[in-house]
Parts: sequence; structure tokens; C-alpha cells
Amino acid sequence: MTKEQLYRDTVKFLLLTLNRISLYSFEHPVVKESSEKVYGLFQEILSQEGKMTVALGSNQLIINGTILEEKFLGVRELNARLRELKVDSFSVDKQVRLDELFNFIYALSKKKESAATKGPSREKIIKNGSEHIKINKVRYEQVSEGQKVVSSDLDQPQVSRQEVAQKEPLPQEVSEQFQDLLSGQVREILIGKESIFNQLDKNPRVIAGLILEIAKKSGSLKELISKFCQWLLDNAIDDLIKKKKDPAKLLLGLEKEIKKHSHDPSLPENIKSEISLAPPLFSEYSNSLRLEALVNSYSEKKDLKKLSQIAGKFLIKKEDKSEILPLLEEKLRQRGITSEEYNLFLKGLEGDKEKVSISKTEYEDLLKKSKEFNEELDKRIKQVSEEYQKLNRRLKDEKERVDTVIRNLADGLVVVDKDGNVNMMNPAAEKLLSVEAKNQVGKPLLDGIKEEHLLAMAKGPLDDKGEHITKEIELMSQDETTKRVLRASSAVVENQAGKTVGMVSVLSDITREKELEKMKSNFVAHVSHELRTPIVAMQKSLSLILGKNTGELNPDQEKFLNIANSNLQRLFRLINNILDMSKIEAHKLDLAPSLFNINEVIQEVGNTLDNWAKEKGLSLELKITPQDITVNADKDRIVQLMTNIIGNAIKFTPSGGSITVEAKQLTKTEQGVPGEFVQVEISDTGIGLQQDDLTRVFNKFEQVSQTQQSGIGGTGLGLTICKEIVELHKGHIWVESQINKGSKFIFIIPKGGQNG
Amino acid sequence: MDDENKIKANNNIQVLLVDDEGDFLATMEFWLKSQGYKVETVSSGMEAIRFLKGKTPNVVFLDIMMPQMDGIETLRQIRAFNKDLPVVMITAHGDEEKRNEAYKLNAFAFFDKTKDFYEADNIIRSVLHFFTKPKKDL
Repeated sequence: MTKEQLYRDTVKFLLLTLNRISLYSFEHPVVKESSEKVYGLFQEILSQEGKMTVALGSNQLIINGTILEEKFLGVRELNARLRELKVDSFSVDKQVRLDELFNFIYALSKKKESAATKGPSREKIIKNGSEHIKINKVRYEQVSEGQKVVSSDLDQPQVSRQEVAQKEPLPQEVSEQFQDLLSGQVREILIGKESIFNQLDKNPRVIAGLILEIAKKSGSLKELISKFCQWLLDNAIDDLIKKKKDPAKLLLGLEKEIKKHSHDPSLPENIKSEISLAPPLFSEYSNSLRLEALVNSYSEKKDLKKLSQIAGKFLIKKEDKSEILPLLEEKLRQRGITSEEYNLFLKGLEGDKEKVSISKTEYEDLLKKSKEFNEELDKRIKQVSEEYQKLNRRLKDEKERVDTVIRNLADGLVVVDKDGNVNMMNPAAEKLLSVEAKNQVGKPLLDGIKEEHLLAMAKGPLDDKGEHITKEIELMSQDETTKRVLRASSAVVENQAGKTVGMVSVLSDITREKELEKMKSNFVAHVSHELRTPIVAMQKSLSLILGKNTGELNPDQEKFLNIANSNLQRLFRLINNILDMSKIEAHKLDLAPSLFNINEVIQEVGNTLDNWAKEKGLSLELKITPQDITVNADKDRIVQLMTNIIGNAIKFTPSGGSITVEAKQLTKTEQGVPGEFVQVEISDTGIGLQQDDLTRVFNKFEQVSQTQQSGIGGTGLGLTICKEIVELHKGHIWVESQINKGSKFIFIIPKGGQNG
Repeated sequence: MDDENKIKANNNIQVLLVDDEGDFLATMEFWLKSQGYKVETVSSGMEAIRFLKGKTPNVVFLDIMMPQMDGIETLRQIRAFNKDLPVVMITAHGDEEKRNEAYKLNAFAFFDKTKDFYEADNIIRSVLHFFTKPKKDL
């Protein structure tokens, strides 16, 4: 670390300690900590340099001869504090103790004296120092640029060289000469003229001090002031002009400094009384100096510009002008200034307040232009504001239109913000929800709906079509007689940045719709029951008779009873198909899945249809695999499905043909989708299908041409239902066929059922 | 004969039939009796409950679709005083929705009335497999 850095750190921590002392208690650890730090830094400096002296510059600190500028942390504050306590300097020697230093620092601080302080009082310390800390033994005198720093300390004859700012004190020689001058012992000083001028400018205190010192000896302050001002008049004009300094200001500064001593006890009374005489004297000389400066600024080179420049600085106030101008004019004329030039000079002084003259026509022209300009401006403003008004009106109209539409919507419209609080709702929504918009705005949508009234709300999307969410809300009406069902179809609203800002819901009253649905559903259930009941009774009765439980039958009885029975079967199947169809339409066909072996079902169906096949002279071959193929599906429906397809095969295969049923286990579908699947193939050697009909055959009520031609009846519903059953199982069904060569119906379903 | 022995064995089994459809009931009763079972019939849920409060058959066949008190409700009320009684629900094709409810009330099995009589027989066999001795309070 360089010396300067060390000094800077010391100052920094010294200030820190001072601050902490004022904030915390005497014994607080942070206070101890920083004072120890300061002590350490002091010690370091002391070990390097043997002694440490801290002195005040005007705003800087001088540590062991090194100047620390005020820009460094703590310098200004420490300087101010020391100055306040009238400590111009303090010196610390090597043997200083921590507690001694600490007491000193404490004495410097602003903390109020407390009983806790040990040792000598602060005042004493500040005045006299302590064992190893000396106060005010050093005084630095100010010097000008380039001069040495001189300290008048008997103990410390050290001198250090450096560049010093202009603010530094007058050198001894100069001040001595100056004194001689003023006391009349010399008529002029040979050196340091400029430094005196600088002092007057920057540090009038020094000049004032010197003047008063001499006044003490000589006895007349007035005389000295006059002498000094005269000296300025004789010697400092060039400086004034060169540096463009207003002499009045300079003298005013000096006057102030002198006035400060009007209560100085060290001054004799007569001097003090003369201080009051100073102001008018200074004023007189100010004017003289100004005048002289002005004249000189012109006279040397007939420099009007320079004159004007200086005049601009000096002659600002009216009083100054009126006082000086007449004399100035006289003197300038003496130096040869022409009237023209002088007038020009005056004009320059006046500046912009000067009056100009223009012709009448020019004036009227200007007026006209001004008027035209104002008119044009008015017109433009009117235009723009009209445009805005129009736009405003249009927007208002549009808004009203939209409002009207919303107001009159039969469906309810509710807009909520992203927190679910209602922004607005139209009258229809109010009615549907039995709330009032004015009560609802700002609250969550369902807040206003009394709990008893809200019977059910389907949570989550019922019909999630991407951006739309549909829910059903069931409400009980106010008088608890009618139940209402609402469908809320909501869409999320996003702003241009894509952020969700709210939701718009359309509420429709679907009570009627729901009722009808329910009625339909009930009807279907009711009708199916009504239709089946007689058939079951008939079938059972026939079964008993045909089963010979009621006794023996003759062949004719048996034959016709069988006809009755088989037709009943047919009727039964037809009714079941119709009922299934209506369920499918109402999306009410549900599956009751269970785990079973597909082969079982094939066997069962095969057994049931075996007789029929035989009667038609067809061979029915069931290819049962030895291992079980378990599947999670609705067994009854699979039976129904297979019965239907095999039944078709029997129907549409001419005598002598064959039907084969085979089940396989697959690890991927025909389209390549991986998974565990069961595939069942029912092939026949029947009349086949046209290529065009391969998909049509699954359509509702479609009876493809082949069927019509063959004359074999049917409702056209069977395959449709088969398709629905397969698809409910998340499977797929299709047919491969060729006319007169036969057909192969294939369906594939996941082994895991609907869930997989 | 095998059949004769079987019929004799069935003599100890008591079956209660509950169905509002008289015609169907008649056929079921006839057939079950022809198999040797002892059969009682009632035509409503209320009657069934009254009956079951007094007597305990081996198995009950209970029709799901009945007016006034349907099979599910009847079962619920039965379960209030008899948790273990084997009850077989008689369904018609397409009563799937009620199945779950019935199972929750501990129905033993389902007999689809559109199916063969022999189904009924099988079911009764299963019941007997599960439960023991024939009761004697008819």
C-alpha cells in the first residue's frame, strides 16, 4: 500500500469511528472495532515514518506533508470537524496508546459528554492534547503554485516539496513586502503582485488579516484601505481586464472580511470604529477601478469589442450604468472614440430591449401574416377535433349496437376475468341464474347463486372441443318447484400477447332439452320392457311345451310349435336391434365389461347357431386355439355381435357352403398400431359383396343390393349395431369380399378393453 | 334314474319368485317345480318383504323391473333385515345400469329372463354351492 493510500484509509476509518461513536454507545463492539482499526493504521504510519501529523488545509487535509484532496472520503468532514474545534493540526508520536488515541477520537466526536467517559475531559484534550498527542503545534502557511510547503513547527523542521494549488498562503517574503508597501516603507513591491491579486480574489481573508495587522501598528485603517485600493488602481488594472474580474466584487469580498473583525477583541477601539467607514470607501474605489478598467480596455487597441465585453460584465445594474456611463463617455472621447462607436457601444449594452423601426407597410404585412397564421391554426384545430368527435360518435354507436345485441340475447352471456370474478352479465344471464348483475359484478360467478339452488354442476369439461368447455348446471328455481338446467359453454379469452385475461360463457337454458332427453330415455326403457315382456312369456311357454315338460307332442304339434318359436326368436332379435339402435342414437349404449375367454364365446355362439347351419346344409367350423385368449369386454355384446355376423353368413351362403370362425391374438393392428389385440375372422363362401358396398354395408338401414336380390329379409340394423359395439370397445370392424366368392368379416378389439 | 334322484334332492330347496308379470311367473314356477324345487310366488316387492319377514327360502328370484317398488328398492329393504339371503336379480336384456346397484346391495347373481330355463337351474346350483343346508320352514 502506498503512503497516500494508507493516509486515505486512516482518514476513512477515523471518520467511520467518529460516526459510530455518535450512533452507538461508548463501549459498543463496533465502536471498539473501528477505533482499533484506526489505531492499527496509525501504528503502521508511525512505524514507517516515526511521527504522524495531521493538519488542515483550506478544505484538504495534510498528513505528514502529503496533501489529501477533498475529493477523498472523509477529508472534508474531518477537516470541518477539526476546524469547528479550532484544531488546526494534531501530531501523534510512536508511543501513543490505544486508550489515549481512543479518548482523543472520542473528544473529536459530537457525542454528548456522559458520565461514562474516563480520563480528562474532552475540552482539555482538544486544547492541550495528551501524553503522545500534541495539538496545534504545526501550522501550515499557504503558498501559491509551485512554491514549497513551509511549516513553522519547532519540532519538525521538515519541508516537503510539491505542487500546490493556488489557494495556498502568501509566502513570507511577499507578505513582508506587502506590509512594507502598505506601511509606506516601499512604494512598490517587486514580486508577488499577481499572488496578491489572487489572494484578493480567492482568499480575501488573508489580505484583510494583513491590513488589520498593519492597522494595529500604524493606527489608521482608512489610510491603509485607501493605500491598498490606490495600489490596485495603479497595478492591478491589467489583471482585472485580463481575468475579466469585476473589481466591485473583489472589494466587496475584502470589505466583508474586514467587517468580520468588527468585534475582534485583539483590535484597538479606534480601528474598530473605522471599520464602519470602510464601505463607502470601497464603493468609491470600486467605481474608479471599474472606470479605469473600462477605459483601458478600449484605449490600448481601440478595441470596441473588448470594451463591450468588459462592460457587459461590470455594468449590469442600472445604478452602475448611471453612475459610470457619463464619466466613461468623457474619458473615452478623450481617448478618441467616435460618436458612432460610442452609440454602437451603448446599443450593445441595451441588448434586445432596443426598439427597432420598420415601415408602415412592413408592419401591416406582419400583422396580416400573424392574423392569417392564427386563423389557419384555428381551422386546423377545429378540423382535428371534429374528426375525433366523429370517431368518438362512431365508436359509441358501435358499442351501443354491441350492447343492444348482448342485452337482447336470448342466451345468457357472462364475462369473467382471469380470477373468476364477474365482469358483466346480460339480462338473460341474470334471469337464468336468478341474480342481479349489479350484485354480481366483481364476485365469482357462483357466489350469488344460493347453495340450495345450485343442485349440481358437472365439474370439468363435458365436451371439451379444444377451446370450448361445456358444463351443465342444475338449478332449483326460487319457489323450489321447477328445476332448471343450464348449459354453460365457455371460451377462454386471451389478449394479444397470448395471456389469459378472462372467460366468456354463454348460458343456455336446456331444461326443456334435458326433459325431452329424459323422456326419450324413459320411453326407450319403458317400451323395451313392454315389448319384451309378452315375447318372453310366449317364448318361455313354448319352451316348456317343446321341452316336453307338459307332456308328449305329436310331430305336427312339434313342427308348428317350432315355427312359432323360431319366429318369436326373430321378432325378439328385431326388437332388440331397434332398441339397441335407439340407445346408440341417444348415446346411451353402455358396455358391461368382464374378463372372459373369447373362445368360450365362439363356442357358445357356435352351439346356438349350429342347428340352423345344419338345416341349411352348411358346415360351421370353429377354429378354437388351445390356449386361452382372455379379453376384457362386454361378453353379452360380443355374443350379440358374433351371433349377428355368423347369422348373416348363414343367411347369405347357399347350401353346401361353409362358414369358418377363427380367433387370433395380435401384437399390432392391421394399420400397424402396437398393442395387445384380439382379432376374430368370420369367413363364408356366400354371395359376397360389391366393392362399393364394403363400407356401406355398415350403414344404418342400408340393405345392399345383394341382400335385396337374394330376397332375404332383415332390418339393415344388425351390422350397424355390430360396428357400434366394436367401436365402443375401441376396436375396428371391416369386411373383405368378392361377388359370389364369399365374404370375410373381421373385427379387432384391444385385449384390455375400452381402457387399452 | 338320474333325473329322478335329482328331483328328489331338489325337494328340500325352497325358491321364492318375485315378479309382477303373472305369465312369466307361471312358466318359471312350472319349470322349477318340474325340476323338483319347492316354489312360492309373490307379485310385488311389498309382498316379498312381508313374506321374507316370516320365512326364509334358500334363494329368491327378484325381478328388477316392477312398478311401484322395483327390484333394487325391494332388495334394499330386504337387506335391512336379512344381509345374507341369496337373491338373484331377474333382468331383461339391457338392464345393465341396474347391475351395479344390485351388486352393491349384495345380489348374488343375474338371471336374464330371455335366456334358457337351464340358466336358472345353474344359478340355483351355484347358490347351493355357496350356502349350506336346506331350510325346513315351509
